[in-house]
Amino acid sequence: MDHGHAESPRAAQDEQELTLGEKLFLRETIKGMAIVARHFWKNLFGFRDNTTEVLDRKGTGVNLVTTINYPEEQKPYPPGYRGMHRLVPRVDGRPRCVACYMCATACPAQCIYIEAGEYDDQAIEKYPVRFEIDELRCIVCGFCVEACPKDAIRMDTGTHAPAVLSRPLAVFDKEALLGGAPVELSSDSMTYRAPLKTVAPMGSNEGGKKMGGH
Amino acid sequence: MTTPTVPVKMVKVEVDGVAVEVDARDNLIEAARRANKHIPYFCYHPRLSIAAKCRLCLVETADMPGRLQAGCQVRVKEGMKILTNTPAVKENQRGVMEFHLINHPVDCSICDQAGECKLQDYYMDYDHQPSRQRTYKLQKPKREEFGPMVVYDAERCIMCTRCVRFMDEVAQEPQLAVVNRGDHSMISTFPGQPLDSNYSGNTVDVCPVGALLNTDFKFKSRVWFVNKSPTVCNGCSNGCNTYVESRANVLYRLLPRRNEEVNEVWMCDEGRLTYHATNEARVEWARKGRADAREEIGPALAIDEAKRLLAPFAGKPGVAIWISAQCTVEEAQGALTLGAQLGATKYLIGGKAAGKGDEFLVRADKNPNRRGVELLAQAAGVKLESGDAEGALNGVSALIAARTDGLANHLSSLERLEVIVALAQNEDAVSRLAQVVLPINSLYEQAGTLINYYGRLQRSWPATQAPRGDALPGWSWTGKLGAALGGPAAIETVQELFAQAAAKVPALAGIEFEKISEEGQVLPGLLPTEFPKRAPHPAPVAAV
Ligand code: SF4
Ligand code: SF4
Ligand code: SF4
Ligand code: SF4
Ligand code: FES
Repeated sequence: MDHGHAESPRAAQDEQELTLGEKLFLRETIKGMAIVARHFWKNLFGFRDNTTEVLDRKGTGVNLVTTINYPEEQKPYPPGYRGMHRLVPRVDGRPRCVACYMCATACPAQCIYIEAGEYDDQAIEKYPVRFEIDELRCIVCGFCVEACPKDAIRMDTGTHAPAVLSRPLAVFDKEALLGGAPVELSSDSMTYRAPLKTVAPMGSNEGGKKMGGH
Repeated sequence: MTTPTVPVKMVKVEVDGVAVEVDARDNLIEAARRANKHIPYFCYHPRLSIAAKCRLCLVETADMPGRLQAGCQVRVKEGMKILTNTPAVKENQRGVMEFHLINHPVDCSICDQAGECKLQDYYMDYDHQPSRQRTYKLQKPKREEFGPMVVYDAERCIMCTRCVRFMDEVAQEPQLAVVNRGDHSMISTFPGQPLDSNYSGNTVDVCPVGALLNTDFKFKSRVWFVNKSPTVCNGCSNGCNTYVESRANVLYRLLPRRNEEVNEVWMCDEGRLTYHATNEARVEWARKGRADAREEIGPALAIDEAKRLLAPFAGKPGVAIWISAQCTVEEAQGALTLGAQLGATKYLIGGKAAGKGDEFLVRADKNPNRRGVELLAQAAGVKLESGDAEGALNGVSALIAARTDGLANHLSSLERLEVIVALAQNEDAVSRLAQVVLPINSLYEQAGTLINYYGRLQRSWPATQAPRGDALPGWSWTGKLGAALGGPAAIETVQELFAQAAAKVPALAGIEFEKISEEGQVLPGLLPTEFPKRAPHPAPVAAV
């Protein structure tokens, strides 16, 4: 280590004596200010790096400064960015979630709280009565999205969890999470069949008639 | 259940080359089990008749190569070579799994069985390939309420008929049957006859898949979230061995735990519901004051208040100790010790009202430890009076109740008592009347021992660790109360308390709390000569 260090040009430079001009500082200060001024003018009238997309650019083409005036101006997140969760609705607006607890099981931060309930009149009878995510505890790993067998939870909102003024406000409930484009999958056929609920005592013949199928 | 009179005949067999000696009555599945090999099965159940319906257990034997035989149906014979791993066996297992899954809805995400489902396990172990089904699956009723505790999903059913055989052979109340044929077949109750047997919950346990579910547990929790701890059901004096499943301080369900001499592997529906009293309507905080004047004051002040109220009565006639037969041995011992210290003149044994019993598991006495309380009182030399009797509280002016079960029958007498100190688990009329209420743990929340109707000492392990208010085991409160009233320092551990009881009761002599096994042990000199007709029990003492 020492050996390498001693031989590096940087080290040699460090050991150089400062010249008189450098010792006086004034000349060096002016040189520094010149660099700052160059960037200032360049930013003000020059062209910004056009690979950077900016949402909602303020100003009308004149302002080509590379610096983004966050939060008035925002860069879009890249595709696949794990943002704020949402509970995906079905076309009828109910959550796709069936309260299977897979996300809560996979979540390393244990920040998903679910209470399951039972529909009386739906073919898929299980649904979340409560579904809450504590976005402060969430480590944004996306395991919940991976774990979900129903494509019912996504992090595709493109926004991040908002700043809040107190901790309880960071716990988002079902109503707050449910939203965005509805999703239907071909395997969802089960959703739309008649609720095959019967109440005992059921006679054997009746049972035979109740069966649909192909 | 009686000890076999004929000595067990053993035969030598080989399972996949491993030589092992097995009982001549074993089938191939059990023989393989003894050699640590697993033959998968759905319909076989060691305690039910053989149906040989699922065909998953097929294996080969060396003397008939290429001919698959049902491992559940075929018995071992001397020199048999069982092959559980041949290509033919593997191919059958894969094919059978595919067959069982052809019309299966695979709705594991809304199925409570997920996590303890044989179909899931065996799919992973023996099938593990995508479905080749390209047409619609057969649709069947998905939510048939068979009875008060059981709901049936015909699509998940694999028609193993375990549930039917259980009702026919073990519960001996044939309430289920197979209806229709082929892939349309399903399980049904009879017209006008729901599945309302007191043993219906066991059909859920024997069902290897999620076709039968317990409505009491349905959607309450995923099975992998709960912790299991061994305990004893407090629903009746049979003391069925159970597991209680809990998370934080909420209990979710009771499941039977195997004990050949108490409950085999079954339990009754009433017993399954006994955990509710631990979750609901609990007395949580130590308090003083009656009805609306009550005030939660914390354990230390509550003890002070109880001391202030009880001290004037110490050594005077009119102090009564009420011991519920729901108390553990240790709680009853604590109450008796406190009674002796105060010079109590009356000891009453209370408990839940007697109900219906049967010839199998359910006993009419709905209290798990009447035998234990009686033995302790006898050893302490006190006369236990029945708390059921009319006017049982006559002549009493101060009452200490170790659990309040049965006390509510004496409300008018209670109202005229000068002092009531109640160790109460649940809110009831008595907890409203008492001047001091000390919250106690339920049986499922504490370590303790119970003695069942035929004198079997059994232990329970606490299920939940999260504290519930000020609740403590009953013996802890009586100890603190005794110390406050000038007695010896309170005993801190259940082990010491049991040792104190064991030193007095001859039947418990030499038994150490920590050495009581999960099966418990029969206490000497207590076994009756006769048992209910079908009740599992140890060998009775021969009548001399
Ligand atoms: S992103 Fe990760 S930490 Fe956040 S809720 Fe999902 S699983 Fe939990
Ligand atoms: S994994 Fe999906 S379906 Fe299951 S509880 Fe979570 S969001 Fe709902
Ligand atoms: S029975 Fe088993 S395999 Fe079928 S849905 Fe339930 S958990 Fe899944
Ligand atoms: S309900 Fe369960 S136990 Fe009964 S036949 Fe179907 S799979 Fe077997
Ligand atoms: S276990 Fe042998 S056929 Fe089902």
